[in-house]
Amino acid sequence: MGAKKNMFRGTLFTAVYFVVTILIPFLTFTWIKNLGAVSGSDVELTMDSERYRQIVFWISAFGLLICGCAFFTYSSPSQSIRRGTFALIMIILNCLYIWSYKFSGALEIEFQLKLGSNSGAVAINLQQMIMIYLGIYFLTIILKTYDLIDFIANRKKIRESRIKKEKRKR
Amino acid sequence: MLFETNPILEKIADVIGLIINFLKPYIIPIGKWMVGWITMLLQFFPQHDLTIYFLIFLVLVISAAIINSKWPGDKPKAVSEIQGEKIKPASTGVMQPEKKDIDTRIKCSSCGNPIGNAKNCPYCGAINEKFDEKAPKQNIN
Repeated sequence: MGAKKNMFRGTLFTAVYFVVTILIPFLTFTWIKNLGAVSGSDVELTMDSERYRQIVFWISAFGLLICGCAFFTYSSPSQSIRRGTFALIMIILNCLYIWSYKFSGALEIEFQLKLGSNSGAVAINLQQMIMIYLGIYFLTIILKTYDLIDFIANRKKIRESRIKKEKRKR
Repeated sequence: MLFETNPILEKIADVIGLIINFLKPYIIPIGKWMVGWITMLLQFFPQHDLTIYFLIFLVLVISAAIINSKWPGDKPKAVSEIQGEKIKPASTGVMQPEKKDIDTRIKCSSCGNPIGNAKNCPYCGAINEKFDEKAPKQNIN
């Protein structure tokens, strides 16, 4: 595995994670914020700008950390200890990222409805769904920990097989 | 809904829903425990300044670029492969070339051991009468 290939893989995955963890959520929340009046009706949907700011802050903060870890993970050689370590850190950061949605208010989305002179609110609570998601993430943490232990325990075997592969390529 | 338009997608959604419903009583307590430690951990994260997150991102990317370029996962070539000669460890632990590199034709006039173009015999310390300063240096043990 050459250094150039490692860097290319790292950059590619960082770009993917940037799109998934920062760009798409940012665009989605911006779209929700600017939704405004629903065409053909008197219904108007508005989003609190303070909440919007909080959401964007947490998305950017953890998104940046995840992107950095993604670069480290995917630019490292496969089955290496550093890859295993950063993959584990990345999963933990993903958990924090998902749960930070709660603090930003994204799990309790509230829409203000204005129907002419009357007004009301609609709230969607997604906390139960996130609980299930975090439970599944816990299993992923166990898997990544097992991977890391495996990389450390079988270091010699992994190295030997890697050298064999390299020789076969030559 | 998208899942209701396609029967295959609807089936998949039903199966996933069934699995999640079955695992719900086991997964939700784990999720609650996860929430506990995550909430505790999140208290240590700065909540109004993005600079620190950006700095961490930069540090991670730069260090990854340096580390993974310098050690891309290939085993470094053995010294013997680079020099194209057989090397064996000496008793002192220092890697030295084999004795056969020494010109055995030139022998010490005092003890008779091969000394090549050494100024002094490494065995008895006698001065080499045939020593040539201009000749390339030879390793002797």
